[in-house]
Formats: sequence, C-alpha cells, structure tokens
Amino acid sequence: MIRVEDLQKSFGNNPVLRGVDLEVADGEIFVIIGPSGQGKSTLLRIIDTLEVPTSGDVWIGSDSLYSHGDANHHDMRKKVGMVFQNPAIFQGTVFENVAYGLRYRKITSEEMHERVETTLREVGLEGYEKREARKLSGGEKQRIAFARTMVTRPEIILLDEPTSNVDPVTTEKIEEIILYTRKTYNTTMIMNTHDMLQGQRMGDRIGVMMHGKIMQSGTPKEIFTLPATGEIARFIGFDNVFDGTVETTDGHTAVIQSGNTRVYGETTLPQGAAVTWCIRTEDMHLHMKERPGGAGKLRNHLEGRVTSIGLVGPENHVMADCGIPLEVVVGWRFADRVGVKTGDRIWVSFNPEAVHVMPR
Amino acid sequence: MSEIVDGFLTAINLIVTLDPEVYEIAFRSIYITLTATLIGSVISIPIAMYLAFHDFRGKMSLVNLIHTLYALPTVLIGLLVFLMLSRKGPLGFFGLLFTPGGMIIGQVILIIPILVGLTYSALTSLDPVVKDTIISLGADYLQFALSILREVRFVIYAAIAMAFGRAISEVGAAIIIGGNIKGYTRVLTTAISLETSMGNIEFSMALGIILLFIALVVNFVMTAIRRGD
Repeated sequence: MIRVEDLQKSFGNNPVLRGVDLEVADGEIFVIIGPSGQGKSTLLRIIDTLEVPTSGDVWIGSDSLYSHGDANHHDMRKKVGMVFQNPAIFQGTVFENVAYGLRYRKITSEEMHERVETTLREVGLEGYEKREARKLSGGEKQRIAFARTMVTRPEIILLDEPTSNVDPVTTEKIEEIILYTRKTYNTTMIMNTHDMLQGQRMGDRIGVMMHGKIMQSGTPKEIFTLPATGEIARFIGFDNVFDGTVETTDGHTAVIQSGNTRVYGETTLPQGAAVTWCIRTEDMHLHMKERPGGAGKLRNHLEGRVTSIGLVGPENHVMADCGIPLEVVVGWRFADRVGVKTGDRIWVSFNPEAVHVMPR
Repeated sequence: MSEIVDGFLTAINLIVTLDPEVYEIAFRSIYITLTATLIGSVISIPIAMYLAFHDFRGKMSLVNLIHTLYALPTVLIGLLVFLMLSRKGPLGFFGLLFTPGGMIIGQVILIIPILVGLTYSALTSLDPVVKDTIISLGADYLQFALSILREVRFVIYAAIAMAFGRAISEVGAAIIIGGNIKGYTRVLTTAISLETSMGNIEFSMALGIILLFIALVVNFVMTAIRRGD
C-alpha cells in the first residue's frame, strides 16, 4: 500500500504540491488526471525519491520514505519502478537496456537472462535481444522502458504519461501490458495521463489533480458523472456548467435560478444555497417546436434561439441562448431533417435527474 | 627547398634505422604524457561529476574559470610548478624538479581544465531522464556514476585524446620543469626546440614526424574504440 500524507513541494517560491493526500491499495491501478502543470509528475517523482518534498511524507507499507532523511531511499527505491513519458534508451542492445536494473541487483547471469527473456516475451519483444535499442520505433522504445522496469519486479510501478507520445495501436499494447502486469504480479500502479478515456479504461480509481491537490478521487463512474466542483466538471468534459442559487426546494428537487432562467435539478441543498450545476450535452433534447403540454415530466423545457452551430465529427454542436448559453449535441441526420440553423427559435428539454448540482 | 627535402629524407632514415636517441626521446615523451593523462583523467572525471550533479555557491564561476584555463599558457604552468618544486618551494623536499615526475605534475595541471570542462559539458548536456532512469532503476552512487559515464564515454574518449595531444605537444612547461636533460628529461618537444636552435634540422624533423605520428595513432585508437562500441 502507498500512503501519501500532506505532501507539499515548492520550487523556489513556486508551490507545486499544496498538500496531497492519497492512499493506493496493493494491486490497485490509481490514475491521476488533471491539466498540465498541476504537479502530477512532481508527485510521482517524489514517490520515486527523485525529488524531495518540502514537507509531508510517503509511506510504502509501514516504511516512511522521508522521515529518516534519505538514509533508506536506496533500499526503498528498489521496491518502486518508474516509466517516464519520454523514455531514456541507453546505448547498447535491447537486452542490455532491459538488464540495466538487474545488474544493479547483482543477480546471477542465468537468472538475468531468464528474467530478461521472460519480460521481453511479456511485452511482445521476443527475439529483439540483440537489436540496437536506439534504432527501434517510439512504441518499441516505450515497451523496452516498461520491460526494464517490470523485469526488476517492483511492488509499485509509477507511470508518467506512458502513452502520450505513441500511436493508438501502441497505446493499446501498452495498456494491455499494464493490465497484464497488475494481474500477473499484483503490482500497484499510479499512472498519470491527460487522456481521460484512458483513465476511465485503466483506473480502478481516478484522482483529479488541480492546484497541487487531489481535488476529487473515486471510481471512474463517480468522477465522470458526479464531479465535485464546476472546475472539475469543465475539465472532465461537461460543456454546460453554470452558477446559480437554489430558489425553492422540496428537499429532493430544487428550482435553481441561473442566468435569466430557472432549471429543475435534483439536490438536497437548502433554499438560498449558492450552487454550480452542470449537464452533459447528450442528456438534453432539442425541439424545433414547443412540446405539447409544455415541460411535463421532464420539468425543464427552455425556450431559446440558436446562436451558432459547430460541426465536430459526425455531430452538430448547437449553441443556444436559453437565458443561459446551452450547448446541445444533435446528430447530423437530425440536424439535416429539421433544418436547424442560426437564429432559429428552439426549445431544449432535460430531466432534473440529469442535472448535477454541487455546492459552490 | 632542397634543404627541407634533404632534411625530410634524413629524418625518415633516422626513423627507419631505429636511431636509439630518437626512439629514447619518443618513448620518454609517450611515457610521461600517458602517465599524466591517466592521472589527469582519474582526478578530473570525479571532479566533473561532482560539478555536474551538485549545486553549490560559486559553481558557475568555477565552471567559467575552468573554461578559461583551457588556454592557460604552458610557460606559466612551468613557472608555477617550478616555484612549487624548487628547493625553497613548498614541495621542494620531494626533489621532483628536473625529473620526469615533475614534468608529469606540470602536464597534469595543464590538462585537468580540459578534461574537467569537456566531461562536465558532456554530463550536463545529457538528457535528464537518463539520470532519473538510472536512479529509478536502483543504482547506488558508484553504479550511478559508472552508468552515467558509460552514456557519455565517447565524449570522454575525445576529451582524453585532446588532453593527450595538448600535453605531448607542449614545450614551455617541459623545458622549465624538466630542464631538457639529455637521457633523462629530454622529450620530443624540448629536443626539437634544442636541435633546431643548434642547426640539426634533420634530427628535429625526425622527432617532429614521430610527434605527428603519435597524434595520428591516438586519433586512430579513439576512432577504433568508438567503432568497436
């Protein structure tokens, strides 16, 4: 288990980590997502003892990394391996590269050969032993880097955006290797990624890192459906995020005053509470005519005008001024059939349960 | 013009017939410079590693000073070492003045800035991820140093070759510290200087050709090591 306690790190007067708390269980894959420059790499470098924190500590099992100076860094480091975004490939063959960490551990030549060959097979580089490592492709180099870490059988592997510079096929291969390693060796992993879908695919849990802190952590479903703040909601892909105030509430569903309109949303927050609410574009419906009978069970049926339409792949992103600037996604077939265009009068409907309300 | 051609032919004859004096001077030059280069490397590489991987106040000034010392005049080194080794100097009790040992000290001082400076440049221009990866893989301090040096070894080979070339071709310090004693401290450069002033052009040219040949061999060896790697 890894436990990070109130970890702080400043470079000069620039604080990068502002109190990170984190626990990762044995065999768990914990994915950290967040905008660039928020301290994700610094956190991994501190866990790998490549940087020293300004304050706070990291525990690996019952051993502290920083409470005894750097006295036990070297022994602890052998429990941890790290794969970097741009892997360093050493001069020499693939075998020499993968065997690097094993040489530091002074194991027998037979065991070294056996482990390197096994690991190369596991990462799909069987038969590459004698090839010049620096002449391989970017994806193969990243697999060498992974094999080099994996071959030392660390308890923990830290992955700093390991697929950010490789093609989709290699990304898939590396993800398979990561999952295989966890399954086969029960390795604990902490992985940084800017690819949120990858985070969703790979993570048992996800942490969202912003302003030098883990702002929210939870299962992928929790993170992607129930963001804790408006900032997180925007980061994970909610296009419609608004501030508002609870005007009235029955304890379950509230009327939220937001911009020049009112929306119904499910929340237990009290009347008068300042809130941020958000809704995914795919949870809204666009109508060219007012629904007969008004909002009905949907409760939210907002009238507005189309201000612009943007094409994103096969989708039309319709921007509409409904008292708040809503963005609705419709398929191109629908858009062609109804002939929606800028300036049209439209209605947007959605369910209160699709509205995610957060305290502000 | 014919004097130069005649001198050249006589020089070749001295080399081909294995003239004992020519070869004795040449071997002494090689021995002194190889020893100095070896000692200089053993001293300089750890210094360069310390400079590259540790921060301290005045570090950049020190690095600038080392770069400046690349062009240190050899006669100045000769004078400095002479003062240190002379009978009344602080190291006079070693009795190294006018000995090959004293000449080695002079050459070591001459080449240390080159070796430290070029090794430091190679280490600091190395991708930081290389350093991080080596540490991350669990290297202890010695393993880290050896792994890093392995990655920059070609630049270090070049630095050693350059240092050897600078040391074997210098004359100022060799004359002041060694005294150009025949059969004892006379080396290629000091002998060329003396023989030329005495009008023995053929002998000087033979020594000059050997000096050039040594430089060629050093370059050839370095290239071979690099290719072999």
